[in-house]
Amino acid sequence: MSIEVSHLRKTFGAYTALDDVSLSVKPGQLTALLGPSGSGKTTLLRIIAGLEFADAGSGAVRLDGEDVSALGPGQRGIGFVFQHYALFRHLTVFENIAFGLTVRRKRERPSRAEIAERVNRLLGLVQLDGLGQRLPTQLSGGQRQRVALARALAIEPKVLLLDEPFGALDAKVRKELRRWLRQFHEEVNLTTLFVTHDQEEALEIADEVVVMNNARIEQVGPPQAVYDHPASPFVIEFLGNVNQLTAGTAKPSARAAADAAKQAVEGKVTSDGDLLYVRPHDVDIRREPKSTHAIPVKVLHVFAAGNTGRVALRRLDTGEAFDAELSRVRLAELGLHQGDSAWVVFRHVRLFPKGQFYETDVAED
Amino acid sequence: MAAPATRIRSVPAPTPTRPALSDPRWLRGLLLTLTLGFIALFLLLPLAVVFGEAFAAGVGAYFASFADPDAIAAIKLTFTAAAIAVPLNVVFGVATAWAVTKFEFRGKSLLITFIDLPFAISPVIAGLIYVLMFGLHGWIGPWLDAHDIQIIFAVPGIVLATIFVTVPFVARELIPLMQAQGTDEELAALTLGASGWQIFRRVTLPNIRWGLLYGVILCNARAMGEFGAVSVVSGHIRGMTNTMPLHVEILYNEYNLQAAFAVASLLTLLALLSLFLKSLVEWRHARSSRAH
Amino acid sequence: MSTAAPVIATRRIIPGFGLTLGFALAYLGLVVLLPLSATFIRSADLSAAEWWAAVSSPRVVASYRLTFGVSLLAALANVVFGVIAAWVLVRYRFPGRRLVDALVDLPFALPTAVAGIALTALYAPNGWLGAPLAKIGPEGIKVAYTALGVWVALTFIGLPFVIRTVQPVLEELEPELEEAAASLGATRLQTLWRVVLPALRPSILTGFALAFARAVGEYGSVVFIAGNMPMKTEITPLLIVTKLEQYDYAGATALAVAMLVVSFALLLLINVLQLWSRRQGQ
Repeated sequence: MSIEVSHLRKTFGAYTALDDVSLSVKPGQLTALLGPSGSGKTTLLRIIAGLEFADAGSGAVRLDGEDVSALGPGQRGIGFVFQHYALFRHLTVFENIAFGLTVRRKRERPSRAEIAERVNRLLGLVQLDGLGQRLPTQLSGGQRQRVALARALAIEPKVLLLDEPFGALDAKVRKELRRWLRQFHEEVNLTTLFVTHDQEEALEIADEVVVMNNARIEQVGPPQAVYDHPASPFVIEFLGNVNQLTAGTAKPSARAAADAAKQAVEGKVTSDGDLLYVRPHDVDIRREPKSTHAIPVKVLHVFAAGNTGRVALRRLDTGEAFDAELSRVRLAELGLHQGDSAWVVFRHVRLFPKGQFYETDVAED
Repeated sequence: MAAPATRIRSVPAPTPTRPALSDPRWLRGLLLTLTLGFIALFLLLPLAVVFGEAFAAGVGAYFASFADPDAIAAIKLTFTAAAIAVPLNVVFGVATAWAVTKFEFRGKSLLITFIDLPFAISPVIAGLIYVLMFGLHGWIGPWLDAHDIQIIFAVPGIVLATIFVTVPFVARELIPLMQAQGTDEELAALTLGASGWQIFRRVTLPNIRWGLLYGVILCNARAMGEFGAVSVVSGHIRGMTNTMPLHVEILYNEYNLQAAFAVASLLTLLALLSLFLKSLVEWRHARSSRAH
Repeated sequence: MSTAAPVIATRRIIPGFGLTLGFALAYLGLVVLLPLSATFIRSADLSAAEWWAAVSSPRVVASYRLTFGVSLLAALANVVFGVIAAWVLVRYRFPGRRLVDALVDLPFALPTAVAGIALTALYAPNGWLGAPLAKIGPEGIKVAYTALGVWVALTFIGLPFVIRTVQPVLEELEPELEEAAASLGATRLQTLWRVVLPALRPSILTGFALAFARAVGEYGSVVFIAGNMPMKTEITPLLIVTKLEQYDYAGATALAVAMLVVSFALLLLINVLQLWSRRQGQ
């Protein structure tokens, strides 16, 4: 079942939550709607669910090609999992999961035995066997989340929508549960769209990531493609750590390489104000200036605790501070100490001159 | 303004055992004495007087006061007025709270202010406005008179005045409660295919039941005890348009103190019952909200 | 985002908007707003000069002085004892605390007529308290059938307001504030006066305004104990009733309109105060 939205607009008074948003989600995929708070991702999810209506006359929501824009949330065939679960606090886990079936009209309602069977099957699926008679307040956060999921699945939706599914959980449970969700998705293979502000979460489990910012979609693609080839400064800054540097006045490697890239597109060289993005793991530290592109730096601080080593550096040519990330082994080989002089080469840079965006790999020489 | 500042309260603060929070002994003693003295003087003594005077002529006289047909008629009318006013105000309170807490619309805060109006108005004026509306010299009084319908100085007027002074109780109780609970559970029920009535009946109502009950208790206590508004529209016709509080007044003005206090003691018992039920509901509510 | 509410929603997700709002407006309109506006329209039967004469005759002015003056004194007494009682109920543990806490709402639950006759019996010259009070001093202290009696009744009626507005604020008050004050060397009294009391200010004011507004309109508990002597112990609501009993509808309406204006102003003030205390609470 595919999800398609076209030209959606949503304003709350003077505030624009969605600005001409179009998106197409392929059937059977696990898709992440990723963005900072206020980017419009939750609004988009809620409009797809029918919990919010787009501005009048501003486009449509299609599920499997059928326009559902005029239908209420109960008629769309969606399962929705709320950020804070929204479990019915006065009902048991069993009654919560059965709710969607018991509110059906008599002739569409499954028999008592069928409902019990389906609820028990779902309890097994979400690994909550035997907890059917508990009240939501007697469950842990992770368990409540899975009850919410089972409740949404009980009505056999064609699409599953999750709003910040792990947002209210602590770090450890969060990690476990997102792995579990990925596995679960492989099993049920339901078209699933989830909202998150955590880039690590999105990159780890989604088939496809939709990056949103400022009421618009910035980029859509598989996690690796989005990470490796970000389409805008926003995406590069939002996904993972990145150093932002000026192109600089000296003649560093990056400047020359970026110039070449820009020359190829516009026939111009960069100007000094242009911005350079380098991921910390693309910074190569050396003790000797073997390359002509090498930039002289001073070591500000060495962080050796943790599974990777991190070094805070200062460029001697422009005075800018930035970070490098390298393996503990490499860090030990270099034997860096605070105050040491060294040289760096950028393996991969992205240059952002005035609204344009270039990237290049720096050739070793 | 009869606004009960009381709202159903949840969890009381835990006992302070932190040394920096404890007052010196002399201060504790002073404040405790002042409070208990004030409560005893203003609350306990009047209560004691009611029962003291009621039983002044012995138990036999006490119960004889209730054998009076006028007293029985007053008791009946009081319960009738409450039995009409309370359910109507429950429907109003639930409908208003639903509209106010589930939707955004223009003029919402004005509507909320209007709900409180009856609390802001002197009960005497509450009675007066109905006299000006339905009385013989009122707006539609002559028309009503021509059609032989009597509202003022009759039971309908008493019921109307009672409804007026108790309009806000249930709505005021439910609005903050439903606001605090949000709409997530209702929306979840909606995505699961529930209808509007199903959502109210199966999701909202179980969540607000203690608050609703609390509002009903306060509403009922006021409905049975209202004096000023009812006094203006009643006409004080014995055995016909006298409620219990009006009957107390008549007996008192006739210097039949023992009978006046006997009927008053019945009203006092109803008030104490209301307070007891109210505390019980508070306790249940605190327990159910502590579980979350 | 979802938290921002649409100002004009053309379609609503949750069902029942038209039904519930329609019923609420119709009910409120018929029961409250229509009769109220009828009163204002009726008052237009009088010319401005007649209206002014009706609301400013000496007997009426004397009733204002008594009603507003004693209401103010009663509300002030409620502030002093209300704050103390709220503090004691929230912070101290003593046997019977829950009983006292429940009893505080008695003035809400007890019919005003019952309160009126009970207080009168208590303070009458031959009453439990009236008799000993009459023996104090050369003249004796008279409570029933004087302005002092009106004060007693209005203090009784307004007793729960300050307690019930201050109590929840005290319960929510961060204990760390007082601990911080103590750690900075403040004595307990300094802490109470300079840290706790200022935090309660908006709720005290709200409770005061509620008690005052209630006292101004009060009728049932006062008429018995006041004695109702013209120019001396006659409250304004009683004057309205008196005029009505004399079939002086115009005069009653004029007085009612004057009081309604005051009530609306107080309601507005209370709303502003409550908004303020909510802001302070955040």
